[in-house]
Amino acid sequence: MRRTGLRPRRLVPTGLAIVLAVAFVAGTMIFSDSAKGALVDQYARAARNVDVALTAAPGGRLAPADLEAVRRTDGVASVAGRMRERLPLLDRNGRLVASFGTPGYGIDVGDDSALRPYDLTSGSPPASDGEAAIDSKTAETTGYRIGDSATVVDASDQRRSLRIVGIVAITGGVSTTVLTRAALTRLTDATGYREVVATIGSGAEAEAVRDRLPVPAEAVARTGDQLRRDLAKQAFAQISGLTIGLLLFAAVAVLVAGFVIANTFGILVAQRQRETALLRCVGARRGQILRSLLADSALVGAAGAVLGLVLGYAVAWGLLAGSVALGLQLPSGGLVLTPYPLLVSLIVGPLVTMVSAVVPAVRATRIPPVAALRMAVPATGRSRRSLVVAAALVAVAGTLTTVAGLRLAQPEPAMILVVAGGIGNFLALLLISPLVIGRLVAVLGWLPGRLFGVPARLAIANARRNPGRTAATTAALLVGVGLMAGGSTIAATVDRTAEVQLDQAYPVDYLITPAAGQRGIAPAVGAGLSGDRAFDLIAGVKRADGRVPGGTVTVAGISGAAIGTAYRPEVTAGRLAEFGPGTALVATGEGEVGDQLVVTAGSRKHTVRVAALVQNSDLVGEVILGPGDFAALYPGQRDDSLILLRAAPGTDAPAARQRIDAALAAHPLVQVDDLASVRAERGAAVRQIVGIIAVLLGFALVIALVGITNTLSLSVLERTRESALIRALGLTRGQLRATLLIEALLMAAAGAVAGVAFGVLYGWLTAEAAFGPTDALLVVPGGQLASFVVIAAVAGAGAAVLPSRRAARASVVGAMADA
Amino acid sequence: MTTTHAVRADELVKVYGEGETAVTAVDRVSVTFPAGQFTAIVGPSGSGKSTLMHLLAGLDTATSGSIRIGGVEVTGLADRDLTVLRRDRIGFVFQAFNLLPTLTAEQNILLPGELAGRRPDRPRLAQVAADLGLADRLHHYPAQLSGGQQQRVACARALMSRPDVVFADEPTGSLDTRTGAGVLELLRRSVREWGQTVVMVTHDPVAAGYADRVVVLADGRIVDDLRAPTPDGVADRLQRLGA
Ligand SMILES: Nc1ncnc2c1ncn2[C@@H]1O[C@H](COP(=O)(O)OP(=O)(O)OP(=O)(O)O)[C@@H](O)[C@H]1O
Ligand SMILES: [Mg+2]
Repeated sequence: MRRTGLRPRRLVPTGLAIVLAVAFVAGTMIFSDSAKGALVDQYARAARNVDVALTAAPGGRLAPADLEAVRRTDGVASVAGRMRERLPLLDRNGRLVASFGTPGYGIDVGDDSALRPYDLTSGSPPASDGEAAIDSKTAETTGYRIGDSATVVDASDQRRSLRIVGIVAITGGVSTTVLTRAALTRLTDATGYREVVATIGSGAEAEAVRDRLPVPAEAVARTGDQLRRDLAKQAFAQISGLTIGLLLFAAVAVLVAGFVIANTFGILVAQRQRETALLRCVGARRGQILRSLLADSALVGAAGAVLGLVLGYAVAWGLLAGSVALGLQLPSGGLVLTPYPLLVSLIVGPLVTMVSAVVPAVRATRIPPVAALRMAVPATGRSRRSLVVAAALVAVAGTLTTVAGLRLAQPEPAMILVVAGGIGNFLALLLISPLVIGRLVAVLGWLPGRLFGVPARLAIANARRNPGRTAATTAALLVGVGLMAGGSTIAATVDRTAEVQLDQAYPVDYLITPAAGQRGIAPAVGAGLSGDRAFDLIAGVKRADGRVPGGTVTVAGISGAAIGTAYRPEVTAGRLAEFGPGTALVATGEGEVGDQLVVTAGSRKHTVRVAALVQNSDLVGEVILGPGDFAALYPGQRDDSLILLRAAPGTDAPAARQRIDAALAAHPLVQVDDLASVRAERGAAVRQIVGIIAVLLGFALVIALVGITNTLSLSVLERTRESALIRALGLTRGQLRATLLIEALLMAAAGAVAGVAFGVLYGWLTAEAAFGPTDALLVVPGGQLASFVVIAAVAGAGAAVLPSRRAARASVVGAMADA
Repeated sequence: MTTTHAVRADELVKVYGEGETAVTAVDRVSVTFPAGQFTAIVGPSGSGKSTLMHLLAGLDTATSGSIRIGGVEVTGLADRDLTVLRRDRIGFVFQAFNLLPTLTAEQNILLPGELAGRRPDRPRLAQVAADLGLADRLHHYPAQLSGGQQQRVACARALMSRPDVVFADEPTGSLDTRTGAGVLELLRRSVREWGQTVVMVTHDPVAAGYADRVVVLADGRIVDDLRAPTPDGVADRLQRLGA
C-alpha cells in the first residue's frame, strides 16, 4: 500500500531527531576508534620488531642468565634485555618531577637499536656513565635541554648529576631517563631485566620459538603479536572509561530521539485518523496500515542514519578537538573510520525509528472504520486508572530499591541500587506525567498569565488540551535536564562533602607525604620544619600495619598535641580530650569507649584503652596511638608517613612554600600538597566535569528542542482554523505568536523544572550512597540549576519561533478557507 | 456614532491573481448598511458574497476602493489596527467552527472583550445568555454542545459587546431548518430589540426572508437591492440569475 497519509514533509523533523542521535552515536564511535588507533600506534612502539618476548612477573626481574638462555634458543636471531628501575629526577629547582605522585623511571639504552622501546627525537643516545637522555614530555615540563645537567636521586638517596645528550619519544605518563646499562645499574643498585625481547631468524616461526623459550617461574613468554595485542588492550583500558561515558551520553541522545519520534508519529496518526478510518472503510486491512506506517518509519530512519553518519564525522572531529583542548593526553592522529560506526548507525537509525513508531502505528490500526464518520475527538490511549496503577507499582519498586541502596554501607553496590531505583521512579514519573503535566503547566503559567493576559491563558489551555502529547514532548527535555541536574548536584555535593571532611579533619595548609615508592619521610624533615617560625602547627604522623581482634588495621602514631589541632577527626563517641598515653582513638567502627584494645605488631602486643570512636580517615589510620604507645609496638620506625603543617598567621603562601622547599632541599623524595591549591584544583575539576556533562547532554537537549518545534508545528497545522478564528475575533499577529511562544516556553519550563527536581533528589541520594556511612552534605548548585531551567525555557521558546511565524503569517481568510 | 451608516463601501474592487488568471471577485461595489438594519447578501455561488463580506469586515484587503466602519476609514489600516477594529467594532458568526475548543461557552463569549482588556460585563452576559437560551450551557465546552447551541454561543459572542455591526457568513449553513430558523430569529430580534446592525451572507432565500433588505450580487456586482423581501421574491430573483 503506497499511501499512508503521512506526508513526507511532516516527517522531516522526525528525520532531524534521528540524524542528531545517530550523529552522536557515530561521532562517539569514530572518536573512540580514532583515539584507540592513535594510542595503539603509540603503545606499539614498545613491541616494534619484537618477534618473541619474555616478561618478568610484576615486581620481578629476569637474570642475565635468562637472557643468555633466550639467546641460545633455536631460531632466535638477536636479543635485547630491557631494564626499568625507579630513578627519581629533580627539576632545576631541586624538586621532584612526579606525575600524580609517581617519580620517574630509568631505562637502559638497549643492546640492539632495532629493539629499543623509544625513538630518539634529537641528540644522541647516552654512551658513557655521566650521560643521559630524557623523554620529550619531561623536557617540556622541566625545560631541560640537550647540554644541560640534570639531577637524579640514586638508591642511597644521593644526588647525581647527569649531562643530557638526547631527547627521546616514549610511551607512558611518568618521566623517563635513558642511561647506559652500567650507569643505570650503578645508580639504582638493581640488576636484571623487566623484559627480554628478541627477533627470530628467517624461516623460524614466532609461535614455535616462543614455545621453545626457557620460561622462569612466574614469567610470561609471548609472541610479538601477542605482546602488541596486550599493549593495545592496555591502551584501550586507558580510554575505556571515556568511551563508555560517551556511549552512555549517546544512548541518552537515542532515547530522547525515540521520545521525539514516538510523539511525532503519535500526533500524525491522530491527525490522520479520519483518513486511516476511511482507508479501513474502503477495505484496507489492519496489517496493511501497520506495515505501511512501519515502512515509512524505516525509510525515515534510514535516511536519517545516512545523514547522521556524515554529521557524526564532524561530531567525532569536535570531540577530538574538545578532548585535546581539555588536556586529555590523546595522541593526535587523524580520524579513523572503521566499518563498525557505519554498521551501527545504519542499524540504530531505522531500528530506533521503527521501535518508536510501533506504539502509534498499532494505535492507528485500532482506529475503527466508523471513526471516518464521526467527528469525535479520539480517546487517548490507556485508561487513567491502569496508568496510575502501573505508575504506582513502578514507583514502589523504584523507591524500595532506592531505600535498599541507601541502607548498604558499601558505596559501589549502594550507588548501583540507588541509580536503579532512580531509573524506576523516573519511569513512574514518565508514566504519570500525562496526568500531572497539565497542572504543572498551569502553575508555571500563573505568572505569564498575569503578565500577558489572553495569549498566555490560551497558551496554557493549548498545552493542557492534549496532555499525552505535551507530556511526551516535555519527557524528552525531562531526561536531558534531569541528568544534567543530577550530575551537577552529585559533583557539587561530593566536592563539598569531601572538602568539609578534609577541612575538618585537617585544619592545616600543607600535607607532606612520601613520593610513591618511598617508605617514609626522614625524621630530619620534621625536625627541620619544627624550628621554623613560619609554621605554627606541625605534626608528624607515623603509620604501620598492625592487628586488632577485628582484623588488620593501619596503626598511626601522632602526638597528643596534634589531636584536635592539626588532626581533628569527627567523633562518634567519647571525647578527644581523653586521648593521652595508654589510650587510642579507634576508627574501625567497632568497640566501645573504655574498652581495652589489644594491638598486635609482629611478635609485640600492646594494650590500650579506647578514648574515643572517630570517623575513618584514609590518610591517618584506624587505630591512633600516642607516640609512646606507637614506639612500644614499632620501636624501629623513625620515619614519618605524613606531616601536617599549618602556616603561621601572617605568612603568605609563596613565602611558606619557599620555606618548605628549603627544608626539603636535602630530602627531595616527598610530595607536598598545598591544600589551598588542592581545593582550587578540585573546584576547577568539578566545574570542568559539570561543563563536559552539560556540553554532552546539550546534544540530547537539542533533540528535545527539535521535538518541541515538531510538536508545535504539527499543532499549528492542526489549529489553522482556530488561529484564523481568533485572529478574526481580534487577536493580533503578535499576540498569536506570543501564544505559541508561551506554550513552548511553558512546556520547556515544565520539563526542565521536573527534571531539575528529580535530578537534585537522585543526585543527592546517589552522593549519599557514595559516601556510605558518612552523611553527604547536600549542595544544590542553585545558580547552575536555575540557568538550566532558564536556558531550557528560552530555547523552548526559540524552538517555537518558526512554527509561530508560520501561524502568524497565514492570512485570516485563507486559513479559514483551507481547513 | 456620528453617522447613521454602520458600514459604507465605495467603488470596492477585489482582484485575485494577476494577468490572464486574474479573477475580479468584487467589481466596483458601492453600498451602505444603515445602522439598526438586518441586511442579507445573496447571489449565486462564486458571485463574490464571501469576498465582499471579508472586505467589509476587515478580514481581507481590497484591491481598491474604500470602506468605512462606524465612521472609521478601514482601507489602508495596518494589520494591527485592523485587528483592534475587528475586536472592538465587529461581531462575527461563521458557518461552522465558530468556537475555540479549549474554552468553555462562557469563555468563548467573553473572549473578544478579554482580548480588548475589558472587565467582563456580567449582567450583559446573563441577559444575552438568557435571551439565547444558553444560561445552563455556559460552562460546557464546544464539543459538549449541539450544532445549534454552538451557533447560538457564536451569536452571543457577536452580540455581547454591542458591536457596530455583526457579520454572519452562512450562519445557518450547517444547521437543520428548525435550528437554523432559531438562529435567524435571534439575529432578527437583536436588530429589532437592541438596534443591532447585522449583515448576513446566504444563498438560502428562506434565510434571506428574515432580513429587512436583500442585496443581490452577481459576478461581483450588485444587481439588485430589495426592501422587505419575501423568500419567494428572493428565490425568484436568484432563479432569474441562473443560480
Ligand atoms: N483566494 C482566491 N484566489 C483566487 N480566486 C478566488 C479566491 N477566493 C475566491 N476566489 C474567486 O472569487 C470569486 C468569488 O468567490 P466567493 O468565495 O466570494 O464567492 P461566494 O459568492 O461566496 O460563493 P459561495 O456561495 O460558493 O460561497 C469566485 O470566482 C472564486 O473562484
Ligand atoms: Mg461563500
